[in-house]
Amino acid sequence: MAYISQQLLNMLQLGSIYAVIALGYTMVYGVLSLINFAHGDLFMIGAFLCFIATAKLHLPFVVVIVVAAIGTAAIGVAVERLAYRPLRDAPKVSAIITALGVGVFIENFTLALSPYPRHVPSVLPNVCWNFNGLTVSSIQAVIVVLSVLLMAALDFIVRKTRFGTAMRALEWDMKTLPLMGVPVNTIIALTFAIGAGFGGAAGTMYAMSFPVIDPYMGIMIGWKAFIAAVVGGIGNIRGAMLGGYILGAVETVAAVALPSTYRDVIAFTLLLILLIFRPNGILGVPKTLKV
Amino acid sequence: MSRRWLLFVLVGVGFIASIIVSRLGLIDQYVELVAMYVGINIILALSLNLVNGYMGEFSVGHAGFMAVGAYGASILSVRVFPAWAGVWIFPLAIIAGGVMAGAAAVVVAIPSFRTRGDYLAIVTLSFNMIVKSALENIDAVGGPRGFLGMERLTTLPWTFMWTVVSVWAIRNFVYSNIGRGVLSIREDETAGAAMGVDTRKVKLHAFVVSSFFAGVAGGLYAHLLQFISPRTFDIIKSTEILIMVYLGGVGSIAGSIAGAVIYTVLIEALRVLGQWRMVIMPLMLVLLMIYRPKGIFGFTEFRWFKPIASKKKDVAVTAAELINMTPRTAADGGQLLVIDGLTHYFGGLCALSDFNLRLDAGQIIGIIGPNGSGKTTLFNLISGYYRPTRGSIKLNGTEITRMPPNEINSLGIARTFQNIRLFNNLTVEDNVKVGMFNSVKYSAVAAMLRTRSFNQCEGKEVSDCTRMLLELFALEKYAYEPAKGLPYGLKRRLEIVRALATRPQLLLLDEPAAGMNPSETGALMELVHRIRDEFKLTVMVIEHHMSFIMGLCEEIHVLDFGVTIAGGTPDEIKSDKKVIEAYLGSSGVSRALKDT
Repeated sequence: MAYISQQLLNMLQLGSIYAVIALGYTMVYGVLSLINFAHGDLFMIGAFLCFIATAKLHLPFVVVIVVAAIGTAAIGVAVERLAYRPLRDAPKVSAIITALGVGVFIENFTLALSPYPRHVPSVLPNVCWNFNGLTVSSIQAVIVVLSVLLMAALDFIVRKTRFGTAMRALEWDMKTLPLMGVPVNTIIALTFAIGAGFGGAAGTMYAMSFPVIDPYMGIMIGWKAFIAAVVGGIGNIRGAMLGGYILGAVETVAAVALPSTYRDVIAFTLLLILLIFRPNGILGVPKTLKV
Repeated sequence: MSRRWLLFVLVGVGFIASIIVSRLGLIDQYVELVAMYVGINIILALSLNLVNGYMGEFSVGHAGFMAVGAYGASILSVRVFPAWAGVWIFPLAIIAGGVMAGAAAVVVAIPSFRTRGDYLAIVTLSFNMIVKSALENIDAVGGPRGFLGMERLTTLPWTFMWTVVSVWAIRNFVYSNIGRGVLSIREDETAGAAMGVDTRKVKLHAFVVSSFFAGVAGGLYAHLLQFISPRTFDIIKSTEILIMVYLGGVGSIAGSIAGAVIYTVLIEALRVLGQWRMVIMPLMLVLLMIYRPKGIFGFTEFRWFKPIASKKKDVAVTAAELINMTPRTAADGGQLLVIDGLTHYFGGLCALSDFNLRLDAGQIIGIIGPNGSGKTTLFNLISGYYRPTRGSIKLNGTEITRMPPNEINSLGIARTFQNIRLFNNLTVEDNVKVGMFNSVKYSAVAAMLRTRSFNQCEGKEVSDCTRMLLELFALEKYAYEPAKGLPYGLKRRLEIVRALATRPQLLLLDEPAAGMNPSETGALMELVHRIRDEFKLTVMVIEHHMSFIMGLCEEIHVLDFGVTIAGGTPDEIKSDKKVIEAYLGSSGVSRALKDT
């Protein structure tokens, strides 16, 4: 029993991180219909900012996560401004390739600056609480609670605020929206800022749980978070959250039942199977063919 | 003729030169190595260009196929084939690696039937990751440590030969019937299906051929490095291939060659920069997309790679022969099309309700009705784009209700679209040739090898018929122009010609006179009468021009909110009270109707 609840906690921890990253993919896809392939690398930047803030600057935890989130958000906005905005009217393929290129650029740039894996010192006092045999560490508690708070805040913003309404309208028609007086560029920049900021926060949370980080870490985690977004139905905010927790659960079960090297294969196989049977994800709506 | 011989001589000279150079050690070993990388990269770039450039799909996991070919060929040459047979059996190992990669491509092709663009990118990338991950977990091939023991069988002459063969075969594939199917998918998949292109078959072929050559390149690469590991074939490798394709230019053979040469040489030249060279590579890609998204040669081709235009002046085919080339089943009791109780809902909205029709061969009938009355829905149901909620459609007694558009087309129904859907970047001639997709009998392999069956079929059935059609409709002067450059009226006409090329019995025209002035409308009316007689057609027309529809049609059906409110001869319709009230509304408009 304790074993099972321990695994459930692991699922929650992993799922929370995936869900927070997946939100970044899904938000950008929602407004621009663009898969931001560089998002996994923004997550990596978040982890490196966390490393700098703790190992070099010795900042306290709350400041660390704010610095990582804001720093990553700034880079996310810069990427949008410099690489994606010039291509907004270009064929979609050009934008996707650019995103891929930006991702590889960020990875290799970081690698050139920091060729070796880094070890992130712990920022939180590592306390463990025991509930009837279930051990909860302070890191796990912070990750799960923080993720849920972030997601609740985002869900509120998207559904109830003027910015959220504009964001959802953008999804439908980018050409008409400026005629209604909505500053499209600002909305897109804000969307990137929030998405990348979430990525940065997730990077920090990840670095707290798995302290060895390297410039290529964002590729695999990013892709898996992306799978989570697709599983939930890309473009759908609640879908991304759901997908994140589903992926966390699948991976935890797979890690228990199979050698750990099979974990990645399982995640991608899950994606392929899902795409064959439900191409629009769990909460996604199919697009109708126009003739 | 002379150009073809010159090409043969050039290839021969190149091959002999590559043997001499590598045997005598005339060039530096490093230069020779780079030259071989260039050759392998040309094969990779070209094979990816087939899917990304010519077909317009977005595959980003090409290194996965390369891995299958590399491991396949290496295992064969190290574990299966006897060591003494090395050099002689090497081509077999390479081909086997290609075949394995081709088989793996089916996994990617099947999801591509249902998804395009972003989602296909995800599928191909997942495939790449799964291959890498799977190889890491198979201990028998070394797992993450990699696989070695191959002899260095990839030499300069072999690389040269494989590169030439790959370029030749892929070029032949592109300039063939199935190649035109590939292009039609890029230009407009929906219109392609309406012209009878079996998009599933075409996609499967393109993915398999593309992956086969990626596998070949993988096999060559493995026998050059003599060591491969799963990490050799990760997403970075796939990105490299993408850069070569988009640097050189999509949809161009010359482009892929240029892209591979420039990229390979540049990356070697930048070696002094160390790790920073890998920063420049993606930066190049981003800048390229922003400032020159089509690449150096995008959509243009070096003259030598294009097929030689036929110089034949006289055309041996007539319209009567064209329709006789495909024997049609005789109409069942004279009735070509029988529609019973056809009903279609979009969600809760009833777009068409209980539509019935008996259509005799040779008739011209019109469908009219206000906007949103279900006219185009009717056409989409007949041509297979929508599956009706209820009801049946029979063509010559055959139930076609739930068939896909391409099969319906091959049974004899062709259509045009309300908003013109030509293959814009293809020439006028190729637009018409796509319409002949189903009358071509040679296989993809025959096309790649340019066998006799290919030459005969392309010569008589395709080229002659196309020329006849273009001349008949006075479009021959634009044969080699891209369709997007045609004036509006000619675009409409070309769409009809393209539909005729599919050799239909029933032609559906969706607002053919939209945007035309009265004299153009008159000419169109004559044209429709003419094709009905010459091509022995039955025609169904949707139009809003009253004078056009009243002058052309022998029978008219009126739809309003999906319900058939009247049917009969033009005179009956003109005087029908219900039509005047529901469709024309005010008395003023009905007066206008009486004038026609």
